[in-house]
Amino acid sequence: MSNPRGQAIQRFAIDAMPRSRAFFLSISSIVAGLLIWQISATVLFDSILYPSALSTLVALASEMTRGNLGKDLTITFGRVVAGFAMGSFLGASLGLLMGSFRSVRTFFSPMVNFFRFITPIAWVAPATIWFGIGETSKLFLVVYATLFIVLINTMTGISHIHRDRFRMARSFGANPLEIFWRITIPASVPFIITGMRIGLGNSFMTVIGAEMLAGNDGLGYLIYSSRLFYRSDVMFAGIILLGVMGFAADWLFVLLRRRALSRYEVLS
Amino acid sequence: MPTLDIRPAEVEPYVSLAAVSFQYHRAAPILSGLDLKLARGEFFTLLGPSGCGKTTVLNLLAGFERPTQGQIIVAGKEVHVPGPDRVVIFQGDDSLLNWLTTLENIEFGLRLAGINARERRALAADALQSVGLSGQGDKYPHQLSGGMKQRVQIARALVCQADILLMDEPFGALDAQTRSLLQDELARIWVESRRTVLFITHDISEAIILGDRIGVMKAGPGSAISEVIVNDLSRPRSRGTVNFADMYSRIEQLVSTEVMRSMQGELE
Repeated sequence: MSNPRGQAIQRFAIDAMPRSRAFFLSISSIVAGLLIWQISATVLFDSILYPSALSTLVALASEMTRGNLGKDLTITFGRVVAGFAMGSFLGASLGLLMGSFRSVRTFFSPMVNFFRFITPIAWVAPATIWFGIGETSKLFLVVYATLFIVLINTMTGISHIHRDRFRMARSFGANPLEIFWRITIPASVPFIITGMRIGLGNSFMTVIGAEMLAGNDGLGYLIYSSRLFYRSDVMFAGIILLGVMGFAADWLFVLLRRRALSRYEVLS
Repeated sequence: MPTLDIRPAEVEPYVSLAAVSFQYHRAAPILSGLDLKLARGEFFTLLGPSGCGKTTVLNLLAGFERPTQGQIIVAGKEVHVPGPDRVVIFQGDDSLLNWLTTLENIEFGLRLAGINARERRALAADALQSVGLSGQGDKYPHQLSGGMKQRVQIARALVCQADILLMDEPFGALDAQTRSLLQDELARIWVESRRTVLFITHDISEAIILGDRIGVMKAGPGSAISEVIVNDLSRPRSRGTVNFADMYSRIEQLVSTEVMRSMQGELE
């Protein structure tokens, strides 16, 4: 693996492997998973309780062509993207302020440390009472799921900035605002992005829970409501789609991160 | 007997620390009653056993810390805060910003001074050349060796026209060859640019190669400058001469007395 400037980057020095082999192993993992699924489903269990890989794929294809699955997928993805973006922005902003100003930090710390241990799902009930089962409550919950982890990571990032960086800037005559803009923000970017990646995972978990408990569309609703019609194949199709969507979103995020961080040495 | 200082610095010092004491709240005093006067354009090396408070002197002059007692005056004005007339060159490379290229790092102070992009780039390129790094301007700090990074710090300080350079053991972490190479280059650059330099070191030969005068610090707690030696070896200096050896043993005597004293202090 090499970055655009041609500098070799070691990832895991001890057990490095060629790219082609890594690709082969990843594909094998997927194939093995599908095989185990297919065999266990056909040999061991009733297909109503545990549909095979093949019948799930058939359901996936037919539901997709009918447009149901695609619609739910788009709805869920839209909720994740909107909430994640807003939560990341709020989390990073508040984190930067808390990390930079002791008074802001001291004021908000108790609140943050209280709320961050309350799982987003716990807020489904109040959110439904306040905002109904529509988009607002979903947005609220996904923002909540993203905000704290991004905030905590941003603050951690600021606490890791070496003292000499601030001193250097001050010695060149930088005022507090310039220090914030030219040192604090750029130095925290890698930490903010790490927080966002975890926040993306949290967003997916939260939106599905919210759609299951209080919603009438989206992948979570589809998965949960399929049980009512004994459509375990559709249920599994939804679950598979969810995994694929999360995987793709993370992959996309890692790509964007690599672009954003190409200037920093902390590429991974 | 060491020569006592009778230089014109006494008449009108450019930098003056008068009866300066420093201690952290309720801790043992680090400096007490320290006097130091620098003439404009002189290279002063401050030598002393580790932990004696050399860096504290530099931090006070830089404005990073405030003296508990006494007064620090630069160009007729009392020092309270850091300012672009006193630029610091730090020991490690943490003050280089890893998201900026070499040239952008060098431009940092110019940018704060509001100099336009074209002029900035031209000045930075000149500075880069004067520290022998032409062609490395687009590299990022992590792509440079330790010695090159310290050259970048020197260029970043030189480009700003700051009258005073405060150097805190800038070559302390380098290997012996690189260190002596950089000492010689710094001596050459100083002759060309004639800044007022306060250079902290615990390396006697470094102090002799560079300094017009060499201050030896007492062992702490409550350290001050015990002896100032005028170094009249002609420039460019070389490490092999008889005069160098004489100077070396004279200073070594003074320093080892202080080291012994500090060890006794620890035993008591």
